[in-house]
Amino acid sequence: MNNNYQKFINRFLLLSCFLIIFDTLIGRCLAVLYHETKNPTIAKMNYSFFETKADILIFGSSRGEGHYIPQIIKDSTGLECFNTSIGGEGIFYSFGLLTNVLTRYKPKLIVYDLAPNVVFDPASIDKISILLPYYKLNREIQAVVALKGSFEKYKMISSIYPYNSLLFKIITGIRKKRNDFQLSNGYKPVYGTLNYFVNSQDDRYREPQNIDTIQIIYFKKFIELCHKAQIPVIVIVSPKYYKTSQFPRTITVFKKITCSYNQLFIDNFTVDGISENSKYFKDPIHLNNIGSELFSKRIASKLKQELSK
Amino acid sequence: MFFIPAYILILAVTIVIDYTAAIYISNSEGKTRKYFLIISIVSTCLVLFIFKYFNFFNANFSLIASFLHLKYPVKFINIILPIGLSFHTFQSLSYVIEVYRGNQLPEKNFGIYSLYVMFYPQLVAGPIERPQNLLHQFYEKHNFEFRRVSEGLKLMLWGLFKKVVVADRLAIYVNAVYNNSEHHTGLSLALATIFFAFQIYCDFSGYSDIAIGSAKVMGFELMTNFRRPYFSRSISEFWKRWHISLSTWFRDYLYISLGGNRVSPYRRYFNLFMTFVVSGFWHGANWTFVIWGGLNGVYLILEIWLNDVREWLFKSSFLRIITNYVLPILITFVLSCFAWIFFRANSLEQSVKIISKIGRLDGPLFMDSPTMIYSFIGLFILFLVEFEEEYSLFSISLLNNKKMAIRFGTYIFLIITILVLGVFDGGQFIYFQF
Repeated sequence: MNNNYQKFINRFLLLSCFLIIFDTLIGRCLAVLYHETKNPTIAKMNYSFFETKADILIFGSSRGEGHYIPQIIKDSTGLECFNTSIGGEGIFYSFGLLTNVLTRYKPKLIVYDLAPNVVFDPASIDKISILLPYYKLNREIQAVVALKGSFEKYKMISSIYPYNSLLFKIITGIRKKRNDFQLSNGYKPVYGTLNYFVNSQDDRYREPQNIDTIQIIYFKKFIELCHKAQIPVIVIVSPKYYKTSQFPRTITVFKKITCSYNQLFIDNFTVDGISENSKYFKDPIHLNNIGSELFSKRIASKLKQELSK
Repeated sequence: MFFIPAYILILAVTIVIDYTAAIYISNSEGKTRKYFLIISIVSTCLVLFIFKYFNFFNANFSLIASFLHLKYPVKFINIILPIGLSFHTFQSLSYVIEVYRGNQLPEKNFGIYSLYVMFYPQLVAGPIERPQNLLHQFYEKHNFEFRRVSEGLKLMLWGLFKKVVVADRLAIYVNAVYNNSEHHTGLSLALATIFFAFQIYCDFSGYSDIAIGSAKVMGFELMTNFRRPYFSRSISEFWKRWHISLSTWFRDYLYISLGGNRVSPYRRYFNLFMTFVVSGFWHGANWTFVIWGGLNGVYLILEIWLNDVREWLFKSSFLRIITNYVLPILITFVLSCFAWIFFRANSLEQSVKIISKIGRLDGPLFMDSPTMIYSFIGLFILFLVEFEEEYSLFSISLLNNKKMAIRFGTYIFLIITILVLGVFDGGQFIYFQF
């Protein structure tokens, strides 16, 4: 029996050694490739985390990414602007990114696009995976990743795991010659027009019952972080098509938090001149390129006013 | 699907009833034995009925009542199905029936009997064990054996690969298409259905491998639950390879009890059909599962009818490989995929709409390049392994190779593939909901 144990332990240790070697080697290669790739999302995230020095930073989800045109904001305010928003991501990504940005420099203004629908995304915790390649940057990011589950810190022992499911994006991005996001400073236009009937009773556009408290906590942390760094934050709820729900409870909660730190909250969820016109929308919750141009012009003038105060 | 500590009481009640009933069955004679058996079966099934089927019957009775303009005052009950209830109910039933049939002595030790029902590797989703196979193992001494532990760990690794690399990856495409079926084309729905066939196979057989492997590590042998079902050349063969512990359970305790094969042909067809309808209903309280089961029953009846034609077709052809292997495997696969539509769809109405769209096979294919590429890599590895296991064309065994370098290389390849391509945010095992 002793021989059985000994043999098992020997083989187990040998296998573990090989596994550590291969995991480290492959993980290192993936890390290098991850920072080299020109996949639009990954390259934009890397740029946001490590390079941007823009005066105005825009944070948000797909609505943030497609609703704010940095060039228009720059032309109006005279300040460099970069849109860090990533489709499908909410406050967790924005908070993780902000913690690292603040270790590098202090932006003059931060705009947070609040997407009320993203607040209820049941997959929001799973989407924290986007921060895995940046896990080692600081403890705040590690705390966000820990929300995924108690085993996450053990999984992160592997050097490969942070790049789980990213191989295809990394490799296809390596072959690209240029970083497309830099041409538009992070703005991703959406083309096409809302050309179908929108049912106001559709569950997808209605405010659910329970607000995700973890997201509220992290939103508060986001505002607090800016407040401590003495960076003004403007929280904006950008337009949606008028037929969808107003999300009144959600907006009230977030507005209260923002105002408690003496920061500006702009509720443009339903706004005259945009919300009622389907030609400005790609779908009920996303402005198209024409709508985003109109909205960016309006917001740029408000930002200019705020900066001049 | 949920674990609620208070629900342990339900398990305790089932255990106490069946433990006591089995002792009384063994100590009595004549009709009294039968009464104890009936008491045991009814009380065990009653628990399952309340938690799993009450609302289903209630909804249907309510529908009938409203159709007949009658008052129907019975309210729905708001309860969650305890995890693994269907599985340990069947394992308990298996025990009392075997004691009644005289194939198993009643277990006197309450702790050992409880362990038989609650043995953790197979508690939540099987394999549904028979008392003759498992109970005696609890009395045996289990020493640490290198070979056995190693085999168990390999099985667990392969099961994990099937679950996180294949099943959960395919689930991304399947869920995207099936959850918005009204916005997807026939082509996308057809591909999603094929993907679902492999998703459910890898999800469930992956779980079974992990369960059997973890039991093996501790020195226990559980029954095989899957034997490469998609290489089946007929539906009857498919059911000898798919969820073996459940299909043999239904064969031994329902089909044979109804008369099995030793009856008139029409009665046999009825027995077959009923067995599969009940099997479908076991999976879930929804008409989609009943139709899925019934459809498989119909396939089997048709197969018996067409047996002579099949024999003639396969023997008379020049292209024997095509007619003996490729064609029957493809036909069986297509038929099982058709039945899976009912299993996966959320309602009968959705199933019908999906089938009519697939029938047209029009429109562009929904592409999610990373998911599709990762899925095909996983499926390709699965195919290579299972093809070699099935036909042994090259006599290569990677996980059990005599050369340590090849074995270790395979372990490392599988672990790294899991880390690179596995889906770690995937859902629960599908069969946990049953």
